[in-house]
Amino acid sequence: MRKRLVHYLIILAVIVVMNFFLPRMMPGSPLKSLAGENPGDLTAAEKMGILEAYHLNDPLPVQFVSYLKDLFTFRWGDSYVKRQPIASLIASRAGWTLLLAGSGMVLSAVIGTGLGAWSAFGRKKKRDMPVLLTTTVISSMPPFWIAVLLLAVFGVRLKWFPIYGAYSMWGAYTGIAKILDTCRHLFLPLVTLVLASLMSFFTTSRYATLKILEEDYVKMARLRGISGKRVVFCYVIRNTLIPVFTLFMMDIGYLLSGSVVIETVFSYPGLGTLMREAVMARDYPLMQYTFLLSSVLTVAALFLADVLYSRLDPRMEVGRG
Amino acid sequence: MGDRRTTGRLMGRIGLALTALTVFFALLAPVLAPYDPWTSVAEAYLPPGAGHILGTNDIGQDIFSELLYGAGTSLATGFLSAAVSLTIGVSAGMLAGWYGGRVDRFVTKVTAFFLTVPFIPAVILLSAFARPGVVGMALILGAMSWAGTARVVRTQTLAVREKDYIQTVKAMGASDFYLLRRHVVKELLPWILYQGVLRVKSGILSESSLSFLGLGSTVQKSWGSMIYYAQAKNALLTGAWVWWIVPPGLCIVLVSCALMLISYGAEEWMDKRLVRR
Amino acid sequence: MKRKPVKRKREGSGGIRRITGLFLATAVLLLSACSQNPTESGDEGLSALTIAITSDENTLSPFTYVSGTGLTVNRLIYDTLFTVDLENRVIPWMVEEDYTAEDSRIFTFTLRDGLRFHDGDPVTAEDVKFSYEYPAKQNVSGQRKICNQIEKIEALDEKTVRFTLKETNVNFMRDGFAYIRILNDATFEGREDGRAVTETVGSGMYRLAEYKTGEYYRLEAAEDYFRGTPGVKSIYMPILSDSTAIQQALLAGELAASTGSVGAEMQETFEAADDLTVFSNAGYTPLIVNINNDRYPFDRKEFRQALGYAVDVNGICEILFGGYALPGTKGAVRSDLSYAMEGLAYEYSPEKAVEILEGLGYTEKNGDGVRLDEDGKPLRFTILTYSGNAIRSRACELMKEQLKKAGIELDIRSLDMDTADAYIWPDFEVANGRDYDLSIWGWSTANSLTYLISLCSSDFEIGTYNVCGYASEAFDGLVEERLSSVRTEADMEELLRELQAVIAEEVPLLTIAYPDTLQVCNTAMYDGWKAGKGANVVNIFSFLRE
Repeated sequence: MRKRLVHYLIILAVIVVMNFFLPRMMPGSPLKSLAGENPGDLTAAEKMGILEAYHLNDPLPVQFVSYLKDLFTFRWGDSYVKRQPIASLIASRAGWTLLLAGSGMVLSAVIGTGLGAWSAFGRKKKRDMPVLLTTTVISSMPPFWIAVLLLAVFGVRLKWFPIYGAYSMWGAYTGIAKILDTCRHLFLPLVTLVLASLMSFFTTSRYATLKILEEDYVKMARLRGISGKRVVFCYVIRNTLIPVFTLFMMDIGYLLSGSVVIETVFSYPGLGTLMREAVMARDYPLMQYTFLLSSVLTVAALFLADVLYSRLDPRMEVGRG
Repeated sequence: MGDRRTTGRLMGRIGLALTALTVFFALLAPVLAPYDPWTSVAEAYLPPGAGHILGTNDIGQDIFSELLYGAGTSLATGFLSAAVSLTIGVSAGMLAGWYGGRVDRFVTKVTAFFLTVPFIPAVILLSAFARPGVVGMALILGAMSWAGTARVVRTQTLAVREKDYIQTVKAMGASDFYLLRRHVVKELLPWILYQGVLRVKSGILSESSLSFLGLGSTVQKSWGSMIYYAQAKNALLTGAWVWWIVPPGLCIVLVSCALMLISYGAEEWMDKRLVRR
Repeated sequence: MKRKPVKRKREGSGGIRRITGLFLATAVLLLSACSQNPTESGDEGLSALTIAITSDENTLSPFTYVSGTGLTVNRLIYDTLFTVDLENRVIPWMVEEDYTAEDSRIFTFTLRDGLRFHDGDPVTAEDVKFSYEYPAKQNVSGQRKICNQIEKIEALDEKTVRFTLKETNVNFMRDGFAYIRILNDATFEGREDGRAVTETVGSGMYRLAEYKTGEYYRLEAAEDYFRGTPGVKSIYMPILSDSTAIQQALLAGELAASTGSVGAEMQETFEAADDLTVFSNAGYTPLIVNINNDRYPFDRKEFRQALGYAVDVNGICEILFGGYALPGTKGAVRSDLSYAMEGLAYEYSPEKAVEILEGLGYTEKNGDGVRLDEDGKPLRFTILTYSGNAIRSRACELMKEQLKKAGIELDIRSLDMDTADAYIWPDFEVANGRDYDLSIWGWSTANSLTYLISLCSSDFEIGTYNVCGYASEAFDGLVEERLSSVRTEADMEELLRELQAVIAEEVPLLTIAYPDTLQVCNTAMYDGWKAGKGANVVNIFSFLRE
């Protein structure tokens, strides 16, 4: 256990360092977001003054030390471009992202795994071809295109769902009505997200199930009929879950940033768009902390997965053997 | 049983044939295309009609010719990025799963790092240094996507390694390389192929999806960039999508489905091998 | 003015079951049960409109917004002494008509009656003085440069204020008085960094009632606005950055308008839709091809002239924008302006281009038909463009084909905005040099004398936008010799014409087109929309009640 902890702490340390250097290695400069409109109108000395005011002219090691200090004392400061405390910016977006991406991930994992296993079971009777090809066709469409299509059909043509936002911005809903309103806004982005991320769960689950079904003892159990079916079911579920779970835990990292395209099309106020804005504006602090959050989440998920694996199957532990 | 086996083989063959057909069209594009896809040959936004089977795009280039020429770039980007991603991912995952210990810890660290590298800034950084074009794009996409594959392959390898027959063969003195190549890869093959389908498809689409985020390059003629421009020019709202988005979309679907059918055939192959044992 | 009541249609849900099954039907029925209906009409103007804003512009104070979109909306909240009308003329706004402008250097204004900030404070001469002094102390805004041109400001009495500029500046009316927004000194007094001030208190026709980061703005009409209560009581502005989503919402009737524009290809679709009207107005933002004048062979005037002949500017303009653009000319200003020099249209002539290139000694070609220079290196260049900007990358594509005919090869490289900027305009400081061959560009600015000088002067103190690194003795000489003696509009126009002639001859850059701005408005929801030259439909005149 301690060895494992050290292993993950090393990964975390590398990430903390990377988070400082990656933004600064990118071409471009945060000057534009610091200088307001028309940065060209400022004289060279004025520009230099701005950079100095934000300690961007300090040598990198000095900047790095103050980054570490700010990070661990939780003084994350203000975003360059938004001019607001980073913590509150993240807080205002995180909820929506968790709602959309979280429910999207769970749904696509459940539906994808279910369909995958079902298609594997159906393989013998050749009823898996339609499912297989439908999933392939859907996953061959770019996510932004699915989003626009759903918007055009269900938003504009049929007017069943709203076109933008995460809730009716000026409707004073409370209680049940508020929840329903949120669901109405969530529906199209969620469907897009599920359709776009179904495929990897589907294939992984299908593969794992097929493999289990070919095992001799499972075959035997199947042949034995009713009593064996439960065995098959339990065995398949158990063995399919491991790879699906691996996939799921890895995707947690994309939870915060992965739905940026969908957030953009549906104007959903999530973290993905915030991160993109931060990158485009070279807003170093906002980039650092949003990405750090997402990275830490990934590492935590990987760690958790690792711990759970070894419960499930001791051979899975990292670095064993 | 016999019936099923033939279906699988048939599907696999259909898949191969379709892929071969697409490659054939891609290679013969210069001969088959009625126009130079780079030149504005007619009015913009022409619907399909005489002379232009699929009409013209926003700057008057022939869409059908674009489609033919685009095949090469798209297939190259798709297959190359899939190859890069899968080669790194599968070998890293297998090494980690097979050897365990220090190798495993190292590979896990590296994959964890790649899994946490934020996508958008990494792509910006890489594309500032990479040479524009198919190879550069494939390398970027491969570098950004192999880690997930590696992790799943690792857990699968762990499971395969413990199988009785593998242990038996190992006890008989087979080399690690032989075992990995002959048995582990074969066991994993269907999954690797599925993963390949996903990667090829996202490689083909990369130009459009990255450009949507303000990152990609739509400089080449490809199915992805065709979809991007159609989208940017609101083909969906003007009705032009029927001849502008659907054809490249169908081509991508076709390639994906063809590869899926090949994977379907490969499942059979794995199955057969297991049964023979 | 006639106003129609606005009611959102409620859609029935019949037939859903047949299409999508029981689950979806239930969900949809449940969900659509709570459609909202925020807008209704009253006798005193419209109660609310929903207008999309295309980017998050922070608190919308004069120091916090980030782009032109922010400036557009900011102008509804903060008034200016003068304003630019729909004909692109500068007219007095907060001040009486009988102002004086001695020598375009000493200006005396009297404030009009009834000016009030949103917090109830009256607008005084002291506020005006403060509004022009405060930006000069700010280290973070383009307004600083303008305010630094002022020598002194005197508040002569409660309502009268006199500005004295350091030097005569005919453009100051437009660049300064119609641009600098009036602040309440009570809000900013003692606050060192204007960007840290989160209160948004102006004296404009709307006050910012609510702002939710990344989500929306809500503007409420200033009832006691000195030119009358605005025609729309509340303006809801959701932040929608995806143009497809905006256009869909316009078609669905969920938006009345947007601060953004639509592509020319969508014109017919919108015109065909009920209630929607497309306003097209002349744009002043040119599509430019920057040429790196520092770099061989672009440092040869003749070579740049050859480029001018080899690129079919008018053709590209026509293909990219249909009829919705004014083609650029060699003079680098809109050709329909009173001071535009005539006869500077680009001539597309590959033959002339070839002739010039041959004359320069680029006669030999390699196997690909690309000309070779003295050292035997092919004339192969890279053009930089922003990724995700379809118009610009298409322009590159067209140029590539045209240059090929002249034996010049062009590689297109699309990069994310900041990466490209780092090559073209490192640190936003032209004195720091540049690292590109050609690049596609745009300046959002008026076509004024100030613009032309900042674009072309090799004195980087004033040529702050000279990203081409253009250095011309003729141009600089004219500016040095004549600028200080410009006293009248006529002087200015005369100088402008002579500068254009120099630019046309030396080709520091190519101006491809001035695309029109096409904006879609829902006229059934509101019929007071006003579009003008270079003006967004979201402007003060659209909401002013006659």
